Amino acid sequence: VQASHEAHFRSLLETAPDAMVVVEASGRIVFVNRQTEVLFGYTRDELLGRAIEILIPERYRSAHPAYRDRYVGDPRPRGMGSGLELYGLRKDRSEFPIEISLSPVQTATSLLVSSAIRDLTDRRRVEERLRQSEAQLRLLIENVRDHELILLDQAGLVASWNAGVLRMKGYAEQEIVGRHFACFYPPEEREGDALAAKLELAARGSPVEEEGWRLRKNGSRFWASVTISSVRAGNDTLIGFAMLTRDLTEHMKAEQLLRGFLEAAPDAVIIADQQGKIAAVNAQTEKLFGYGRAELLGQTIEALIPQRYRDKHPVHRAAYAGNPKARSMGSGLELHGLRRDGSEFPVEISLSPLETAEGTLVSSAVRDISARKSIEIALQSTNRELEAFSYSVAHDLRAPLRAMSGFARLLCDNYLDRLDAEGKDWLDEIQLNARKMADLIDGLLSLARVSRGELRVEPVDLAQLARASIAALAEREPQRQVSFVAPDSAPAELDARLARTLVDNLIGNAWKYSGKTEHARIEFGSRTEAGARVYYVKDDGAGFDPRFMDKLFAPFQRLHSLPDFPGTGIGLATVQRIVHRHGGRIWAEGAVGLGATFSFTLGSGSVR
Amino acid sequence: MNAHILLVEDNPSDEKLTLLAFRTCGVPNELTVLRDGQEALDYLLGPSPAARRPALMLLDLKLPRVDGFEVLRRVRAEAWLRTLPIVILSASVEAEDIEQSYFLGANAYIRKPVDFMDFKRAVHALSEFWLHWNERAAAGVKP
Repeated sequence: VQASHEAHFRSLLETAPDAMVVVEASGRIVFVNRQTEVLFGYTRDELLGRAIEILIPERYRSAHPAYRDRYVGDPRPRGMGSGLELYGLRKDRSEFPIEISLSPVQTATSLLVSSAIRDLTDRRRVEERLRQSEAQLRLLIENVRDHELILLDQAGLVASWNAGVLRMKGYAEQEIVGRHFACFYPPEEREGDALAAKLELAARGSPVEEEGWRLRKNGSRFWASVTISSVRAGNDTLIGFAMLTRDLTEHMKAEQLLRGFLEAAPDAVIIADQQGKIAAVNAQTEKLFGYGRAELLGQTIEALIPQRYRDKHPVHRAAYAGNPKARSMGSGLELHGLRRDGSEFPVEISLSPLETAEGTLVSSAVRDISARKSIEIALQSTNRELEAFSYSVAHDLRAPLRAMSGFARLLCDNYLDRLDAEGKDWLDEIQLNARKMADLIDGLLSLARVSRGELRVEPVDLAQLARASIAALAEREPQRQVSFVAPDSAPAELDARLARTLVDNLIGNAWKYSGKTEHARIEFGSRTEAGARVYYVKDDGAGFDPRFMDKLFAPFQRLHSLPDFPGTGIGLATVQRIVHRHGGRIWAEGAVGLGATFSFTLGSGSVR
Repeated sequence: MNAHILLVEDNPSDEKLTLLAFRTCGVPNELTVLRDGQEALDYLLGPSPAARRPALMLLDLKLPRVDGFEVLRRVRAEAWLRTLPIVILSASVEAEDIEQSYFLGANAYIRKPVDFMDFKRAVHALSEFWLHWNERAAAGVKP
C-alpha cells in the first residue's frame, strides 16, 4: 500500500506542469521531477541528496536556511517571498525569474516540503513589453498637442491628465486632480443632471461625442470637440471615464475663413459629394434658388435642375467624377436652374473638384445670367431693328432721291430750251447731290452689311486679293502709272467675302490718295511682330495729318476735301469693322504729303 | 394690239418716272398700273379677272397690304401663270431679297437706279428684251 501510494504520488509530481522539488526539513533534496531537470539543466542524480540552495543564486543563499527553518516552524501551503522577485540558478550559472509555491508534505516519519517552481521568463518578458508600451502611450498622450486627455473616476472626479490640460485649460496638476469635471463646462451646460447623464450614457457603453464651449481655468471659453468614453478593467467593471478634448479654435478660424470666402463669392456655390448629395451651400445659393440652407443640405443636386434635364444629370455627374478638373459645365449649352417656386432661370456653371478627407467633393459656382441674357435679347432686337432700319433706308430714302434726280433730269432733257446756263447748272447740282446722297446711303448699307451675317473663317490669300484689286483699278484708270509691290502670297484666315471688302477698301484708298503722285508706289505685305502676323498697305500719296488720327476710322469722317479726293468716308470705317469682327487691330501711320501705311492684325484665331 | 405691261408700284413718283421712262424710250405697249399686291392678285386671280393676260409684269417688292414676295408666291402657284415673265423692280440690293425673288420664280431683278438716265437705259433694255427678243410661251388661259 505504501509503495503504491508513493508510486501514485511520484507519477502525480511527474505530470505537474511546474518543476517540483521536494526537500527534507534540513533542505536536502529528496525528489525532483522531469520539469526540474528541464528548467535547471541538472540531471536528477546530480540534484538528489544536495542542499536546495544549489538552485538559488549565490547572493540569496546565505539568507535561505533561515527562511527554510521559519517555514518548517509554520508549514502551510503558500507562495514563497510574496512581493519579492525570485530567481532560479541553472547549472550553467544563468538566472531566471521564478514563482514558487510551497506546501508541506507530512509523511509517517518526517515533514517534507514540496516546492512548485514556475519559470516566469515569458511572463516577465510580456510584462516588460507592457510596461514599455505603457510608457510610450504615456509619452504619446503627454505630447499630443491639440488634444487633452483626462481620466475621470466613476464619480467624474479628475484622476489623471496629460500635459494638454496645462496648455489648453491652464491648470497645474495639483490644481485639477480630484476636482469634478463640471469645472470644465460653462454654467448653462451644467444645469440639472446634464453632466451626470453624459457619464451615464458613456457608462452604458456608448461614447458621448459633442462640440461646445468649454472653460479654461481663467474662465475664458474655447470651442471644443469632446469625447467621453468609459474605461473598464479586465473583468469589465467600470473604472472611470476617459475624456478626450480637442481645441477647435484654430480649426474654427480656418473654417470661418473658408466660409467667409464661400459667402463672399458673387456666385451661388454648391458643394456636393460624389453621389450628388449637397454638403454645403452659401448665402447666394439660398438667395438664387429660394431654398433655406437646411432644406438643401443632404438633398441631391438634381433638386436644383429643371425636370427635363434631371434624368441625364447623374450620368454627367459620373462622367465628371471620372475626370474631375476645373472647367465650365456643358460649354455651349444653355443651362437652367430651378427655383423652389418652380421658376427657371438661365445659368452659367463652373465646376471644380475639392479634395477632402471624406473624398473628392465637387464645387459648383452657379451664376445667374438672366441679366446678361436679357441684354443679349435686347441686343438682338436692337440688331433686328437696325436691320429693319437699313432695309427701310435702302427702300424709303432712295425713292424720293430717285424722284428728285429723275425729275431734274426730265426737266433738263425736255425743258432745256427754257433754261439759261445758271438754271441748267442748278439742275445739275440737284442731280449731283442726289447721286452723292445715294452713295452715302449705299455706304451706310455696306457698313451695316459688314457687321451682319455669320463669319465663315477660311484660308485666304490676301496678296492675291490685293493684286486683283489693283488690276481692277488699273483697268478703270488706265492712265495712272502705279507700281505695285506684293509678296507671292500672304496667307490669312478670315471670312472670304469680308476679306475682299477689306482689301478692296485699303487698296482703293491707297490708289485714290496717291492719285496726285507721279509714278505712285503701293505696297502690300506682311510681317511678324510680337508673335502676331501684321498685314499692311503702304502708299506714297497725300498722307494725312496724324493729329486727326481718331477721325480716320470713324464713319462719314473725312480728312480731305471732296474736290481733292471724293468719297463718302465709309471705307476705313468698314475696314475697321471687318478687322474688329475678326478680333484684330488696325492702325495707321503717316504724315501730310508723305503717304500713309495702314496695318492690321486678324486676332489670334486668324493668325497662321 | 400690243401686249400690255402690268406695273405694280405704290409710289406715285416712281410710277410717274417709270411711265415717263417707258414713254421716252418709245415703248408703245399699254401700261396698267396697280397700287399694291392685293390689287395685282385681284387683277390676275380675282373672281372677275381682267380678260387679258399681260405680256410682262414689273413688280416692286415693298408694297402695302400684300408684298411682292407674296404676289410671286401666289401667282407662281397658278399653273397658267407660271410662264408669265415677272421682273422685280426694287430699291433693295439685299442679297436675301434677290435670292428670295428668284427662289419664288422671278425672271429678272433690277435695282431702281437713282440716276434717271440709268433708269431709262434699264427700262429700254428690259422692254426690248422681254417684249421683243425674248420668245414668249403661249399665253395660258385661266381654267
